[in-house]
Amino acid sequence: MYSKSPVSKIIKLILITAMFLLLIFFSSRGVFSPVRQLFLKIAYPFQKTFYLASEKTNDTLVFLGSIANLKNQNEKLIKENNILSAQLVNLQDQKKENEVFRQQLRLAPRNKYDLEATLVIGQDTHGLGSWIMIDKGDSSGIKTGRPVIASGILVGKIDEVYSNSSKVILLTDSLSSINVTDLATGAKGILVGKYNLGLVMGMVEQTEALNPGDDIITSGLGKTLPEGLLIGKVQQVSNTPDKLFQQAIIIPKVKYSNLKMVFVIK
Amino acid sequence: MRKKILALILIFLIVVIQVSFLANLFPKHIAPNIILVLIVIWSAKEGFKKSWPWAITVGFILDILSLGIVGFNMISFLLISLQTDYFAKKFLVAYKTADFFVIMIFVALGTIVNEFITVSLFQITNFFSMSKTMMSFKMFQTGNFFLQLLYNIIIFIAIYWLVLKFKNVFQRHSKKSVIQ
Repeated sequence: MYSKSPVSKIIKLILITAMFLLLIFFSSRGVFSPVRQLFLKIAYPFQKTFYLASEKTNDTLVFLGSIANLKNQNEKLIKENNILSAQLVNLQDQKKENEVFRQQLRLAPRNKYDLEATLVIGQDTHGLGSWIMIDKGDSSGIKTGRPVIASGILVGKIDEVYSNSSKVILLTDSLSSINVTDLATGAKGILVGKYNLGLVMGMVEQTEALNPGDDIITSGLGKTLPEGLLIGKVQQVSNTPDKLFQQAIIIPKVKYSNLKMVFVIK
Repeated sequence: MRKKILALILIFLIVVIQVSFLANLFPKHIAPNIILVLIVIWSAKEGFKKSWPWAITVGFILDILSLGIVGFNMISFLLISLQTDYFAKKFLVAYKTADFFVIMIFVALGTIVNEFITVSLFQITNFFSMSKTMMSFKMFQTGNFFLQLLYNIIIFIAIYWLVLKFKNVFQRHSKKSVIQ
């Protein structure tokens, strides 16, 4: 019986490995963007339908799980509603106050930007990086690098734009890096993602003050992101191993895994 | 040809379901990998020679639609197909009556290989791209990995007979076409 020599098998293996390495090399340089564009265009209607279906299924499962507690919750909600009605009156006054505070604290006013509302229609399947896919793209005027916010809080940046969809790199992605500042003390640093596990503010000079509980906002340095977008709170402060800088673990103000609707600042 | 186009459309839809439905349905984004399970069943039943083109095709579509680097899933699925074929030749003949359980073990092995390859490639590309933080992402994160393994086995139990039935329907259809 004919059997191939070990040399030919090794050559075949080397060739296949080289082919895949080349594929990965070219892929990371965006060679497959047109193909991806085409595939995403075809998949878009299905993807959106399936994603929304999964949201509805999730909601139904949560509803079914909570059905036993509904009666108690209802009574509780009626009580809460009465309290909230009273609080609403106070909030009208506080709203005016808030506008003044926002100006004083250098926080970006919510009505300052041209926002594009988008639905989240996909997310990282591996859990290795950290990204979401939104249902607006080139046709809606979305551009690469634009900030993405949810409930007024910065969650990421547009990374890739397709005709009807875009990929948003979340702040927790290991390749994400933005200039930030401590709202209370003015300490400046660089916020980086840690593989979907959290956020770390690094490169903070030893002479600057960083305190647990402080709010962290974008500093506007580098001009890639506007100044004053809220990100999260300082949880824990420590020194870098070489003791040259301080670093802090930042807790995001929104849960990235629960994002359903986000806004792109155009 | 018609059969292949139909299979391709079906694969495309399964990948879309994997990427947009299942990934969002399960907590922590750890979802069952239907495609991996299908490749293992297909490779165990049909052999590497028949299944490798499908492993590469489905890997390519998954890489494209999951916005990942093209090649990661292709390599992973190709090796899983090769591995499954190797073990199938050794064990499926000996334990033919228990092929369901043997293939279930292949699914578990495939999940381990998939985790190892995707995480390794991710770390290597990340290291060369910029962040030089190769060691900070841990492979086989205990809880997540076992959850993934469990999901894959459950989905295997759910779809195994369905895939065999579907395969039979396909074969019957193609036999009829030949006779006509």
